Amino acid sequence: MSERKRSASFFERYGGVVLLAGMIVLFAVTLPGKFLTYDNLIGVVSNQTIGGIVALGLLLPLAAGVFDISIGGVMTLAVVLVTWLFQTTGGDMPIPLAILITLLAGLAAGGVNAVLVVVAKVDPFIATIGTSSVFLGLSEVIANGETIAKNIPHAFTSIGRTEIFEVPITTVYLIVLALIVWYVLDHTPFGRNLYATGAGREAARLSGVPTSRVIFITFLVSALFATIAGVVYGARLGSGPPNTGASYLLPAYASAFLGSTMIKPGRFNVPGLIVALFIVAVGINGLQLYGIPFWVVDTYQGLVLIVAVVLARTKTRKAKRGKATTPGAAQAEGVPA
Amino acid sequence: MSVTDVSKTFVSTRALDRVDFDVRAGEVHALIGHNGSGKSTLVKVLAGFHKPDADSGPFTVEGKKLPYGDPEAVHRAGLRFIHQELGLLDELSLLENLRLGDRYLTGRGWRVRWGAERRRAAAALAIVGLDLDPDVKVADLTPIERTQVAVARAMQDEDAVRLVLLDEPTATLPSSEVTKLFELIRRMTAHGVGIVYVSHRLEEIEEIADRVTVLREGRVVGTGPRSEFDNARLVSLIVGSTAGEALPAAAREATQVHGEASLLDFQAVTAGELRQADFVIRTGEIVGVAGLAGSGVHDIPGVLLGRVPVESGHVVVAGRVIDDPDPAKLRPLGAAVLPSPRHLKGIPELTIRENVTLADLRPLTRGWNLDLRRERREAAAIVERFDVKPREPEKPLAELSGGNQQKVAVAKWLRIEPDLLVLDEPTQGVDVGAKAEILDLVASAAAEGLAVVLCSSDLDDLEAVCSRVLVIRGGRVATELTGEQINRKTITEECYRSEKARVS
Repeated sequence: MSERKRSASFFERYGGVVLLAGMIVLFAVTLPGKFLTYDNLIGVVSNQTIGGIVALGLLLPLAAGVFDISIGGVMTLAVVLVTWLFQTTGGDMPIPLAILITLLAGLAAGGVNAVLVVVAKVDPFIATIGTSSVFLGLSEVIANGETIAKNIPHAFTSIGRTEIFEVPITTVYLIVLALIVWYVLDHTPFGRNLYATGAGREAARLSGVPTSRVIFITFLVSALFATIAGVVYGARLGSGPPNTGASYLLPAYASAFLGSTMIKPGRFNVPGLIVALFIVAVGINGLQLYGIPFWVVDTYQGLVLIVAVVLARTKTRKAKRGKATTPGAAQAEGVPA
Repeated sequence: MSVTDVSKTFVSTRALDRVDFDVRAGEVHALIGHNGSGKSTLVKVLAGFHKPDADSGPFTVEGKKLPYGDPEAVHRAGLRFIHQELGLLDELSLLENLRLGDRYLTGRGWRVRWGAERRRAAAALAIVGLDLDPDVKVADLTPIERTQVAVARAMQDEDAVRLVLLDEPTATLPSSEVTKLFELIRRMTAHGVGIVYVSHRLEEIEEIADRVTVLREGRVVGTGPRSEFDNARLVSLIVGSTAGEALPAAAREATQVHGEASLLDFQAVTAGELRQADFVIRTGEIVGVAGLAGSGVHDIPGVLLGRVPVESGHVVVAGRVIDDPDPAKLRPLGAAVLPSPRHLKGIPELTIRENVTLADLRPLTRGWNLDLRRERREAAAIVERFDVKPREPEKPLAELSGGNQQKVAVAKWLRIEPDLLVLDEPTQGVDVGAKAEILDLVASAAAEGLAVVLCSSDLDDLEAVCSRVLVIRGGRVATELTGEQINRKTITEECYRSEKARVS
């Protein structure tokens, strides 16, 4: 029995929730009147919305067993493109049209990744590192190296700034998108095929799962979500700085991996991701309220990513021990045509 | 070199039972036996990978005692092992392959002395009669040259080498090059090196071996000079005299229902080891496919799964010619294929439920919605019907024993009610009870009209359920056995029958 994977225990599933609750209690007690206020808490949540949207999209390629490093580049491109469309038309472009063009451009960027990986069979990691840099370069060209801030219509910025019953609208976006991704992953045949592809691509293909199509779609979805995040970011900020997306890459990976160790351990799952997002956010918020220096944020996020990956690794190793399959062997199968 | 009285017991099975084996300097000693005879266990004991049971006798080389389970000591004593896959790295040069796992000659500042290394590599290649640039990549070599390089690697410190074991060295060689291998072996024996030659091919053994040892069920059932064993005697030693065991209940009845519709038709298919293979499978029959390693048996499921490219010929499924077959193309035509490698049969991280329904989610889908409640009900029913243990559909597949994983894999395909099911080694690594259950399931599905192709190296399986057995030899269907001819002995004889004999 020792060499077989055990079903996840209660603590493995809900350890993260317990940790989050513990952090909240700790900060509430040690930071009276600061941490547990409506403004602070809603601030924590709304700070996570954009990163959360990027991470939600990232769940799909990760669940299918491929990396998408280009999401930061795609998001930057979206921020710059949507604001530039207004600036260059003097604010006359209809808002839905500008958003539609940006979303299509984002899908095209995802399509480039998908073609490189599925058709040209380039390793996804390498392919998306390459395209990421290309998208960033493209953003620089469009923005001409400067932050785009002219002629951004008020109606556009309200997309990112409105509140509904004192809840920032961006939080509503996150909730809606999270529900959609959760439904797709857990309640559609596509979600099942996605997990099967990620857990054993060749075995899934031999069971009749269209693994290449699944992987193709995941790249479209992750790019689409990064684009949505970029549009929301541009609206909230009211301008388009040409260097934003890159800083969202690492936190997205950190929360996706940390999320994969809880609720449904061993799977990239939406509830786990949400808990992970708030473990990162609440931790940073608490540390900042303690007055801890600025560099702690990056260090903390990096540590969370590493710890999460180590946790996820030991779990998979437990599952794989004594099996012929290794992650390396699965990788070596390549993408079947 | 000699080992005496070696036994090796794995968890419940005795893989080697008091085996004696010895090799003299300069002789070729052939080691033969069917799959599961203990051959590979013996090889692994000699190589130091397995430690035999504590009551085993001594392991000696030139009179000196050697510890068991110590690969380094084995190497130091001058024993070399060349496995079927040769263990060469394609992307490295000959020189780098020769030095693999060993130190390079270095000069000042840890500089590799490439000049000296090249001369050393050329000398090693000369031992095997190869005149090649040591900087050539292994990927660019012909099959025989690769074998020669593997031998050169084993022989490079010539003076220290006492014994070389060749495991199925001809499995990857075209038959025209076998003579070159034999020349090489004779060159080695002339140096006083002893050879252990593991092979299925009796005609090769007839030509090259001085002595023969036959293993069956972990025991030596015959040993002596090659001249004392003719092919017929070898085959009967390999097969043994065990009579066929009791057949699963549903088995023979299934063979009665015979349709005429052709479900699978290979027309002069050349792919992998297959050479213009022709055969037809019809409704309701269970057709066994037998053959030795390298004969092309496993290329039949391989072709259907899209793992072995078709070079020429046509694969016809349910009356339609399929170019580049793969599972997604076969499923709509009612054909399903169960691959043989264990890690491809199912997905260990997914639950039993998820594995069992993976082949077709459409019956469980309304619009975009996967009806999980219905899926749970269906999975519970399947687990019950196929007697999967534990009866917990929510357990990850990885938690199941090999036999139960097999049942899940078979259940996955029977669930979609195919017209044709191709099974590649469905009972490999499965205990006797589970094996009978799996065969029973297949047989009762066949009784309802399912056509089954059973590629199995377990002859008892074939004997138990098949209405026809195709024997693959040299990449084509060499013989078709029916009725009383389907028994272990005849199948084995046909598998081992030499090509020469067939032609004449």
